[in-house]
Amino acid sequence: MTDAFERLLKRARAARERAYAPYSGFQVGAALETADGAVFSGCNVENASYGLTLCAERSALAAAVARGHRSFTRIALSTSSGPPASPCGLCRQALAEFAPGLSIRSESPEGTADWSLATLLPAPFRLKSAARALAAVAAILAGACGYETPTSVEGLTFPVTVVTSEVHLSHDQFARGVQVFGGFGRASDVTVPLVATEFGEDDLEARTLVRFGPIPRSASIRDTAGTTVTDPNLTLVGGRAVLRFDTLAAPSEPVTLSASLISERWHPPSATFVHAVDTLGEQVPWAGLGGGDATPIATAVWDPAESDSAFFAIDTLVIKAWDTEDEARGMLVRMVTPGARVKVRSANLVMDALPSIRSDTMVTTDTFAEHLTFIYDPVASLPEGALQIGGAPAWRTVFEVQLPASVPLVDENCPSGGCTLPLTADGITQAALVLTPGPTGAALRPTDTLFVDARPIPSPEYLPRAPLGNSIHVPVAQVPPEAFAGEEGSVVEIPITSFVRDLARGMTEDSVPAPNTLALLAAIEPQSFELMRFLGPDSSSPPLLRILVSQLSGMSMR
Amino acid sequence: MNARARSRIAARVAAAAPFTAAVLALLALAAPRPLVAQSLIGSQGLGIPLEALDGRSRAMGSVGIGLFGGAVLPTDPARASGLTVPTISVTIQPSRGAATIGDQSVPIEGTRFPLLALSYPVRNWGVATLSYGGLLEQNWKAERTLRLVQEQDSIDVADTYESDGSVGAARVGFARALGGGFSVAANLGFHTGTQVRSFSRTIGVVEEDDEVSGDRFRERGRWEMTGATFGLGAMWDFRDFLRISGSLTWSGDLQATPVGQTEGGEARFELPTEFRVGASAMLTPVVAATLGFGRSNWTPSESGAGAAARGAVTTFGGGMEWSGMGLFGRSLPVRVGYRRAELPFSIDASTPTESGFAAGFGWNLLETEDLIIAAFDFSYERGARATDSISESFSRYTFSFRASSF
Repeated sequence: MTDAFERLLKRARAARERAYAPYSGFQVGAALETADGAVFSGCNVENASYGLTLCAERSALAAAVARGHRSFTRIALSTSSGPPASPCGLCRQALAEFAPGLSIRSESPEGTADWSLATLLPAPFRLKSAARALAAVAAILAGACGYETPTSVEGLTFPVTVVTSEVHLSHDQFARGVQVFGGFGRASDVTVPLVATEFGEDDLEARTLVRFGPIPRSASIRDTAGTTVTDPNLTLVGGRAVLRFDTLAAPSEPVTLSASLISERWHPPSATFVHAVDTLGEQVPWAGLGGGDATPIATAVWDPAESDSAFFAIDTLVIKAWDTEDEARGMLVRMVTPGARVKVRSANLVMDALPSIRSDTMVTTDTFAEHLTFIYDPVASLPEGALQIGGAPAWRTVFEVQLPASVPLVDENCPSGGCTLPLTADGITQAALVLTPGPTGAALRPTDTLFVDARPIPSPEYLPRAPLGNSIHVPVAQVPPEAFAGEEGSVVEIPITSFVRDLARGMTEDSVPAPNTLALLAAIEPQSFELMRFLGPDSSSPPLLRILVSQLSGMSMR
Repeated sequence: MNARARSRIAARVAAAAPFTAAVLALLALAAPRPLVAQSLIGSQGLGIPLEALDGRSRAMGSVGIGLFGGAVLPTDPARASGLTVPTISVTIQPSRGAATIGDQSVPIEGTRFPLLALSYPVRNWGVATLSYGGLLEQNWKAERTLRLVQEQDSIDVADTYESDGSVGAARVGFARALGGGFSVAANLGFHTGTQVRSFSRTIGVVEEDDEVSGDRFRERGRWEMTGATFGLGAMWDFRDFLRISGSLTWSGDLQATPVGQTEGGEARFELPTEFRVGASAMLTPVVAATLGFGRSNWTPSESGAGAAARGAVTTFGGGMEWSGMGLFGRSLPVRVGYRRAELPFSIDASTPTESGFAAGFGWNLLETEDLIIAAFDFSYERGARATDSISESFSRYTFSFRASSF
């Protein structure tokens, strides 16, 4: 503070030297510091008609405001005689207009004094409501319709004026033909399967299916002579199925899971809660819903506070059952603890074996999951009027976008109304869809950041399987899980600037007609079982198109 | 997007006010900050004057007139009458320094090509000349950060403005010695050049990958400059002791024509009539002194919207040359000078000036009696330009090479 005022006092003293005070002989200099650090100085200018005298403070204030500054932090005063002077009443009011909390330091040959403007003028005059509106209109009329935004520092000025306006188009004005399609991808594409029972409002039941790879029959063994040799005749004596979980989505309490032996043929990529095989050419239901009549083999407890894994004891008979190429082999993992849900990151089978060449020892061998997927019930539905993106299988929201040629401009610079803002490709600086998250049950509510891709659809006649254009915005929009936490006022913005710009131009930058159909989809389909649900057009918070439009004047030779 | 922004937009979603736009108030976060420039003071008008002078003139503080010897200088057309053999000369002028504006300091640098000249004697009628010389040059770039404010929310933006271009003049002329030490000359030419100005506003914090998104507003304008110029010159030599020269250069309006999709229309700038006078005297057989004075009646422009923003400006300078030194058997004249020039624009109501001391040398690589066949001239100037708010210090180097009888 001291240094900052010292700099100001130096400028104030210099200004005082230039003061014009032939009548009072009381010379005053002022240095006013703006919020961004610029300093403007002023001095008192007296006049033979005493009432016309201008104080140093207002002189500095006028200089600063003329340069476009309206926010100030401190002012320093330097007087030629007497005790340190505080600003007069007029100056206090003038300064309070811009900085009611201004810090003041005054210096004279007799010493220094500090004040706050709030102390010197605790109740500055303010115009209220109607009076303020009248004053604003008067000021606007005086300033005509120019969008002058002076931004300069002493000596260097941007020679152009740019005005950026924010446009909000309601859903009715920019979108039509909203459609939501599901069924893109399969649950087996999700890399983090679920295990849950009676979870959430929908009582989600999810089971993970594992098919382990070939059981190893040999291992490298160090023989009694210390030489490492390959033993092709291991004797497997049991082992453990190890499931590693996503600790970021861990339950708060330990959970119990069970593992069962699948004994009927199942097709990992297409298996659902109802069908063991569900391909185009074949549809085979499970003998019982949710994995058939699997034979229980073990249970395990996962305590997230202790580790990231659960271990299921597997005996040799089970390993033997899996030691085939039979398409019926597999392990079904169920959640036993009601209301719990976990996410499986990986699964592998660790086995103990006796080497044939050294029966006095035991070795460990393992195999990883060849297929790791999950089946669940119920399947996510589409609530009436909602928009949906993502999930497994994934949902896409598609609609046509149309732009008005211009929008009314609501601005104090246009008090008489009738001003319009053209939506041109050159002027559109940023455009984004603003979506309001809708109510989503716990089972489907995102627990991790999801990615929303916006892509044009050049041939919408082929919907829902129409080919997609390139991503409109790279990187794609990231949507944090907090957006769906039900917080009041939470919205998600999806940038679509180039798409809107092309629409305004009528052509893409490649000179082909601009597509007007837009698809919102998960960047990876499917990325997660969880999906993004938003309020639809008929809701209380329908989708909105927010556009920033810039207009420039002054780009000329001068 | 922060929570406040989300809330604000949510409020708007709830309001669902269709088809409306609101101008966002601007709050300056940082004042314009120069990024690069040849001269910040040159950001005004059409730029900073780029005089078509060679290294010898620069080293002697000359305003471009009245020096002994022959040369093709648009500012002293009659001097070409002394070039009795075909001659070509090239000048290059790098400069560097620093500009200070408020608490900010920015390096300034640039390289100019102030003069390319050719002369050819036409029988015994006189000497024809062809030259291309500088007039005005502008090259600067600045950025600022702003906050667009509406209600409780704000969006940070970064603005960049850049101006780059120059105006020069191509001239053909003819100089003739009339006898009795008198010479006269005239030249005729046209101004030519381009000026490119661009602005961009980038929304939000710019990451490397965001370049793809195109969330940016850009505007660019390009203008081509044309205009006519005409010059007259006269010179009188009193034996080998004294030379007095004068010149008058008239220029028509400089027409700026927008190119392509540039908006803003055409512009026309009044260029000044320039008057220069200079003299040189031999103080001893090896010491010469020179003085010169120039005046240009730029048209003042109250709005600052012209090529210049103030009226007539004067330039004066002078220096000395000592020819008593040699290197490897070749003469090596040493020169010093001082020069002061008013610049043809105003900033913050102050009148910028440029002043500086100069020193340099020439090296006459090949000469026969008083005819220099090949020469190299170098000048170093240390000077300053100043207004009330901007000060610039610079070091300017000028290299000229001249060859004759090619």
